[in-house]
Amino acid sequence: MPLESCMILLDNSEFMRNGDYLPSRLDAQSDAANMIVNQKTQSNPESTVGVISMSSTGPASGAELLVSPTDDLGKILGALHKVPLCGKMVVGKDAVDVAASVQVATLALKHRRNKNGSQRIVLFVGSPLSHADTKGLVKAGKQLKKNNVFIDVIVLGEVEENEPKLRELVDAANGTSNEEGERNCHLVTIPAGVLPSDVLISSPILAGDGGVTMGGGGGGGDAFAEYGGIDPNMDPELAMVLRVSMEEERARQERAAAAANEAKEGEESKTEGGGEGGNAAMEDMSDEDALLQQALAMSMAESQPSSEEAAGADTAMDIADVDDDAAMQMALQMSMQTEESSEGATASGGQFQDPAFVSNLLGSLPGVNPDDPAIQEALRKAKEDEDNKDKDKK
Amino acid sequence: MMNAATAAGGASEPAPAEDGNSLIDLSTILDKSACYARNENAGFPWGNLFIGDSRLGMRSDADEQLIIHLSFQEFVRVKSIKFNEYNNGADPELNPVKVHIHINRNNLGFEDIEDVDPAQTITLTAADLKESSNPIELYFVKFQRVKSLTFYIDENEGGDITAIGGLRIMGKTVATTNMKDFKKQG
Repeated sequence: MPLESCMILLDNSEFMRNGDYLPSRLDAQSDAANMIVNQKTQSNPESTVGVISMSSTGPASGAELLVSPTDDLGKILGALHKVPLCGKMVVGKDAVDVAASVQVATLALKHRRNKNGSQRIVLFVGSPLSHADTKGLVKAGKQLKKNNVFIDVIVLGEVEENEPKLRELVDAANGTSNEEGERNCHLVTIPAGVLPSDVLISSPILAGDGGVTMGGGGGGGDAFAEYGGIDPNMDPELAMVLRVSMEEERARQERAAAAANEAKEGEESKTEGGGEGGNAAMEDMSDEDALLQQALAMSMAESQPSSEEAAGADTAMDIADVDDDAAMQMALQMSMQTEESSEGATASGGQFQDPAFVSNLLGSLPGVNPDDPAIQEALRKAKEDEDNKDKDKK
Repeated sequence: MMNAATAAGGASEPAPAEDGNSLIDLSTILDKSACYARNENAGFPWGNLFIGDSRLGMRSDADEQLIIHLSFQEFVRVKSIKFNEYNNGADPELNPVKVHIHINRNNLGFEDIEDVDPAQTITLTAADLKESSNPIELYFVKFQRVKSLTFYIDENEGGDITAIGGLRIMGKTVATTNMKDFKKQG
């Protein structure tokens, strides 16, 4: 995982006394925060983590910075431990002000020491946001995006009420213009009764590039999660391969929902592309595969006309923009010609005059259809040329 | 002592300038770890500005505003700057227009950059952004002891985002001790 500065925003309002997560929301939250801190600090030695509690006992009762971003694990864990339950309930106001707390976190991130690396906020919300308006949250999300800050939101309880609002925040922070579909901000909802750290370990928040960690274990984060649990120092190639395949898998999973109808189109294009593709047996084919198929079909279509030209015995043809396939075929054709002309023998020439042999040979080449009228034409021409040459010799 | 140093410098260099330094491209002495940009598109980061290919430029992400903070390894004097258009001017809507320049301000973000007075504000025209046009001269007196420059691109030609093809900062270093000038004694 790359270098990152991360602020963890903890909800410590009175709602966190709720026992729907064991032993209580607050303890479940600090367990999860603990795991995130471990994962962040271990993934890169220079990564820093800070902690903010979203309600405080002071007169302001707003967000309070407990630790500014640091790589000192002891300091962070110490702060996580002594987060007290506090906060006053004011009629007409939420227990925590998410938008304001996020701004405090942005400010803390802005003054971080190491300006390299990305900035991230991990936000825990366990109290109902009945008064927070979506507009304010969207505005906060846009501000985050403009400041190049990523945000991960973890919803602990009050799901029905909070999730839509917080999703707006995350969507705004992701931005709609991001056409590559790369989403750096995530929202994770923890169902009641489940240990949050169990959900987080396999969520994109912790797994980062990996999506699903393999054998991550319940306690601490897996240091080599992005390499599928393989130490990249021990076996760099295997680790790289695992990482690439995990990235692909994650991309597939993230697009799976949106790709439902695209996959159907992909199915059609696959049938067009013919059986050359190989992995035709994949039932849950993603649009990525479909794209690959399309690309394959297109490259074949491209190589077709060039191979026709090659068959046309046009040796002076410029091969600059011809792909490998076609170039190889042309080389083959050229070598055949030189063979024919140097030997001048009808024996080898005759072999290529044999239409059955030629169509067989062409059929065995990838992407060449021997029944193609253009190829037939080219073959006929080549034969004529050959006859003319023979006449010249005589 | 001073004379000896300049004489030695003049003898070794073919084209001596007064104070031993002429105008140089200051991008060579950037302290890259202290530079940052706000609202940059991750695919088109600020580092692209100094590659020299206008197709590899920098773009803003969420809207047209952009903050580029450049920190130097030592104090410099900045004489002139030159913005180049993105992709040889293929999309003139993305050109920056109003650029505020701040000197030696660290940690400026979009929240507070409007609250501080810039050292200079320049307005770029399409002609200024052409590769061949002359760089824009700054108020040289104000840029005598510069450790960092912050460019705040406030407005562009009307596009959704801003794109810049390249940036050149010309200036000289403030005379500091150059260890190369020390000769072994005896």
